[in-house]
Amino acid sequence: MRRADQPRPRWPRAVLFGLAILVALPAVAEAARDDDFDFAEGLVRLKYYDLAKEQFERIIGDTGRSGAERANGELGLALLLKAQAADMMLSPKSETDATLALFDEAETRFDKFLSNNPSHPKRTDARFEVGLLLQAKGTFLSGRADKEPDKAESLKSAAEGAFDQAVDLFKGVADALEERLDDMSTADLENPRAQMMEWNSKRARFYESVCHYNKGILYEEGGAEREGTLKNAIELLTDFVWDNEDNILGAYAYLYLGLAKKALNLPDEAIEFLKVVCTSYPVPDPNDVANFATWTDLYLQGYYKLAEYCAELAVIGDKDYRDIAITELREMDKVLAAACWERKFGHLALLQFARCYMGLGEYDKAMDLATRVSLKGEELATSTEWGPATAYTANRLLTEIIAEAKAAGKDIIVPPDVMLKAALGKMATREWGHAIGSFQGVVQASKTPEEVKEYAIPAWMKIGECYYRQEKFLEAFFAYDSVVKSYRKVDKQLAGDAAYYRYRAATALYAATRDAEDEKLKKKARSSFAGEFPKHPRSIDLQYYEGADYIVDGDALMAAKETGRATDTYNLALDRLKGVKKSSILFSKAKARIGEIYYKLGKYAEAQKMFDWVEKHVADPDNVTTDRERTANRLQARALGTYYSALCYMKQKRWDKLLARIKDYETIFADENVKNFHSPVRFERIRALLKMNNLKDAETEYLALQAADPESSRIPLAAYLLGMAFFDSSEDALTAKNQDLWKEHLTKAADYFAFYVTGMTAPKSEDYESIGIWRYKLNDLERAAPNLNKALEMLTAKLDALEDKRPENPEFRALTKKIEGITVMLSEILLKSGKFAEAKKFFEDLLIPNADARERVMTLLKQQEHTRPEFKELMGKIRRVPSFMEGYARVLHQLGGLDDCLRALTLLRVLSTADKSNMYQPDWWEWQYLTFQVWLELGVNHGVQQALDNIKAKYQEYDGLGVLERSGRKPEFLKIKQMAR
Amino acid sequence: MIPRTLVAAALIVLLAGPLQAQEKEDREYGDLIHFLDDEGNIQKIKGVRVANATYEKVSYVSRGRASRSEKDGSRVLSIAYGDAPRVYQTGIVALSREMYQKAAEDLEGSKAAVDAGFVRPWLLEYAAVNKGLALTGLAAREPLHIADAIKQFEEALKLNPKSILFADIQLGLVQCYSLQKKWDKAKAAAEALTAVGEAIKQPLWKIRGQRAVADALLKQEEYIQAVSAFESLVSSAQRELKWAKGDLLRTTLAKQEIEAAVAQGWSKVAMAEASGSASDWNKARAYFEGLPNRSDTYRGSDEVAAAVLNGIGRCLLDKDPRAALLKFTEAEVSHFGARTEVARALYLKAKALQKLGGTRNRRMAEQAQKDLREFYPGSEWARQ
Repeated sequence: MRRADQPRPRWPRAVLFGLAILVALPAVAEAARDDDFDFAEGLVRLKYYDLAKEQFERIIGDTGRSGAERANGELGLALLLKAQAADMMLSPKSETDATLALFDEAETRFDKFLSNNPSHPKRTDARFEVGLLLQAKGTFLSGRADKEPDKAESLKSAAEGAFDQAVDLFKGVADALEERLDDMSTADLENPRAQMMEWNSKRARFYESVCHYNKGILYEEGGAEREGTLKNAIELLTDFVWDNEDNILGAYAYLYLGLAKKALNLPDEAIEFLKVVCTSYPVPDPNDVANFATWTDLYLQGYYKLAEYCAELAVIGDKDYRDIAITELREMDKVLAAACWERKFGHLALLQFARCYMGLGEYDKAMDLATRVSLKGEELATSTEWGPATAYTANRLLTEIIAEAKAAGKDIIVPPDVMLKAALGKMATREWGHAIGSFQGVVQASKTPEEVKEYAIPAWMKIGECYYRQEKFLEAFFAYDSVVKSYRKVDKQLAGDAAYYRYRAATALYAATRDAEDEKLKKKARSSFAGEFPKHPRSIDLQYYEGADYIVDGDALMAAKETGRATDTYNLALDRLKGVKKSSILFSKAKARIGEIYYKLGKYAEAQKMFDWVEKHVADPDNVTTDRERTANRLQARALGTYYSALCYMKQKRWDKLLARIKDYETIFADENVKNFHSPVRFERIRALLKMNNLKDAETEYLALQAADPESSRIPLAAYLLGMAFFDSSEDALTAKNQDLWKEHLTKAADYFAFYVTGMTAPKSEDYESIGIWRYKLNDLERAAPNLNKALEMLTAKLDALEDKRPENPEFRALTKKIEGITVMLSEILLKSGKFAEAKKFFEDLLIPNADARERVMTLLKQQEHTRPEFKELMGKIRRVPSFMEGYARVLHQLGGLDDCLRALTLLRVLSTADKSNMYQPDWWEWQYLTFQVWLELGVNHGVQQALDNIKAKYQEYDGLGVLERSGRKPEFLKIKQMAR
Repeated sequence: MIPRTLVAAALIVLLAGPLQAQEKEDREYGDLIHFLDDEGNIQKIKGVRVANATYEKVSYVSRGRASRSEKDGSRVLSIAYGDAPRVYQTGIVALSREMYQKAAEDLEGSKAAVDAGFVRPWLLEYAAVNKGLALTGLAAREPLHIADAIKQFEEALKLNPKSILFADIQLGLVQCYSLQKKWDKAKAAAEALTAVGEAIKQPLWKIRGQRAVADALLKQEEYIQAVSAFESLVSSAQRELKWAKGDLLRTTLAKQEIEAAVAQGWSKVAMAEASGSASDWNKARAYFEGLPNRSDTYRGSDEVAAAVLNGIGRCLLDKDPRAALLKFTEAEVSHFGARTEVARALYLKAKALQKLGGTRNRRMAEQAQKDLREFYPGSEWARQ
């Protein structure tokens, strides 16, 4: 027993404490693990997708966690994909198929999570997420239907499907939860879990009705489907509001009721509902931050939609809805004054109210409101993502207000700062010409010295930039020149900037024109900048530009095959570029260009070193910069490096390295600053994939190139490469006796080649020949014929243009051989399709292009006057291609014109005897065979006998030469020879 | 307690009568006269009813006064009649927006107000003049409107031979006769304006009349006479400037002087184009090169600077299109305020680019023509 005066032993407390920790540890660890998921979810919300992915994958891979916890990671990845799809959906440059693929991938992940985890605690949340995903997908598809009218029907149908799925899902969740709640006792309903279930069932009902609304607005206005679906949505929303008027979902339901009524063209009812949202609910205590934000956003959305609608309605009958809106604006100002300036929907609402003022002709008030939103948006740019967007929208609205006031003949005074904002708004939408006009207005409106410095000079700089962006480099030159000349005493720094950009404009002009006078302009601009502003920060860039100039000169020398001089010039460029200082904004670009020079000098390893350096330098987090121009230059450096690196690997035949190198290029594809490299890099990827025999991916890349840059000059070349690759593959398939693959690939080869020739300014006859032959082999005779005809046309034109038409001329022989091959195919096509009359004309046009000469020859032949000098002269107009004559004779035979056939054969004989050279000799045996047949059919004995004698006489000799075997008619000739005996 | 509604109703009844009378008086005395005072400043008189208006005298009655007042007609800049029918107003707005067809229709429609009992004489006169102007606007593209336009102007003169709108009428006639290539009639109309301007000491009318004569001579390809006419006009404007008072008059006269000086240069260019002689080209070029040195006003003028660049560029165009291109581009960009010259610069720039040839230049030429049509649609260069 312990004495009272003895101190209590410490160890029990320590042990207890330790035990407590041990007991608490799993709970703490559990809490920490939930925190990991929450943390990763937070990363998703902040759009740190790579980090979020890492975190979720870590959760999945952590074997110390329970199954349910690890499943959280799977759910997290699905949520990540959903967020990425939502991001992509909002980007106007995103491709429809790529975005849909992301939606589908997200859906698949969610489905996998749900099927693998039937009793996971986050299951209901996951189902909600799927519903929201489907809703977002439907909204995306219906938006795209407006932008892609040729696919509108299928996109709308897909949107409808997505909404239907979402409705079913939400309804299913709501029904299930309500059923469970119905089974609970009153006491059980009080517990938090039941209350969460009740809240989720309300959410599900709410989303179910919103999906009906979203589906309803998909349909055409005035149509029965739209009306029916929206009425259904209204019914559901009204029922929902009945039980939920006092909670946030009920308030949102009022908002959607307003929107649904609007969609049904019921303005007064719509406005009533929207007013309920704005004014019927109390404003929460601003100290209750979360609640305040949630409810304020709802009110502001209500005001935004109300004002937007009123601006749209304008005047109906004697009611001006804009007056109603302005009354509500005053209310909003009273109740939510501070909030509306700090929140996105507040800005949007204010801009709609400005629009209402504009509609009412109160331009000064409209301008004032829009200007204030613009300024506030700019102020919030550093702390919000949406600030710049609302500033931009406000600037656009300012442009409209000024234009409308002018058109209405109103005398509003637009201060130069407001004008500048409006002009920037136009520039942001790339309306360069109109932006220039607006900036000119700023210059004219700037009267005081302060205004000139603050607004006029920046406006001139923007004028220069607008011209430059349109590649009007001479105009840009003069714009910057105006600044230098007029304002060098007002602001030397800005004048220096202008002098620098004047030089840049002159450089770009010379690069575009290569005119000697423009080169002088460029040099003068450079020396003027360097001389007058030697301490200007950009003067260190001149070294880079000198190097760049040398590269251009080197390229020109290389193109003229002056390799020695080109190398010397490239070395001069190297020297300049190596001297570019690290502080220069063009430093990384200089490195990339050094790599480019090494590539051009064939020093691939050195080149790759430079490109690797650029990649590393740009990716280095210590190199992050907020300077837009420096960032743009780095991106360009990276793009340049990627492109030339690809070319280096191409030269080194390292296709896999090439593909790995440009794998990450996708992330910067969309950037404005590197658009020039987009197509070249894609093209190199296609080439590499083809070298690796990966036709499937090469094709995918080609389609992506076509979609992204349909005017790219590389597309026809890519089509050519694909055509050749598919042709080679078809040959392999033929060897392997894979008929289906042969057909598929040969068809593709022909299709790609066909595309290629349409894209070329001067396609060759071989190209048409290839397409024609391939289609002929595929028995696609209808499509083969035009290509063969085109090839024939080009070849016969070459033949006609030949000076030396003697058969001894190898060129003549080569041409006639080609022509013969094509003619045979064409005649077979015509004959197979029974188009004998067409065939006859075809051969007549081929034989004697001149119609009069043709007529005369036939007449003389008929009259058997082929010995006349006139006939001899006319022979000179005949194209001496044996296959033409034979084909003609064959056709005549088919047409039953035996006499005409004989004449043709006689002509053939005359030509062959007139020209003693062996080479002209038609296929003597074919000729003989046909002659024999004709004489036989005509029943002309002496002719038959003649033919028999000829055959007998030549039989042994030509049999020995294998000619008969080759003719394919040896059995027939043998029979005939036997007859001759 | 008397119900509030009853009080409100009683007030309405009590006030209705006087309110209506007030409104009637507002309409009767709703005219507004803008005029130049002795110092040349713009002044206005409102709340009046104009009884009679000619370029010699405008007489009016002020609200609350029995007797008439008068103003020297030559000083009156404009009269806005307060009882203009709505259709007349919409016609005027359409005219200001160059919507000529609508303007002509509405102004014709405003005459119906007379049939409906509108008694003041100004309406028919003003409707005729403005309809004439609308038809003249249409006539630039469709000549069939010319005769009708002339008819309107003549009708206006019949109604009021000394109309306040005399300058608009005469200049309208000049334009119509020029379109018909009836040069003598065009010059006669212009000279009539000059004569009246001289007689009533209205320098702007005098100068505008002289300008119209010079323009007609140029269109008639009487280059030597045109050059001389523009030279006289410059001197005339300079003389008037010596005595002119007030910003409006001085600014307008100065602008007219500069425009005439520039037009003189272009007449020399037209002469050189017609003759093809090197001497005429040299004279034209020398003229433009010397233009800025005439005075500080010329040196500081955007119009002159742009014209000099365009003029020298035009002289260079045939032999050195590239040098010409530089001039035109500088005029377009650096002197954008001189809209007429900028439109000309775009036109000439396209010509220079076409002469230089090549894919890029041809594309730039097309773009210049497109810019001209888009941003200067009313310019004579956009129509060429």
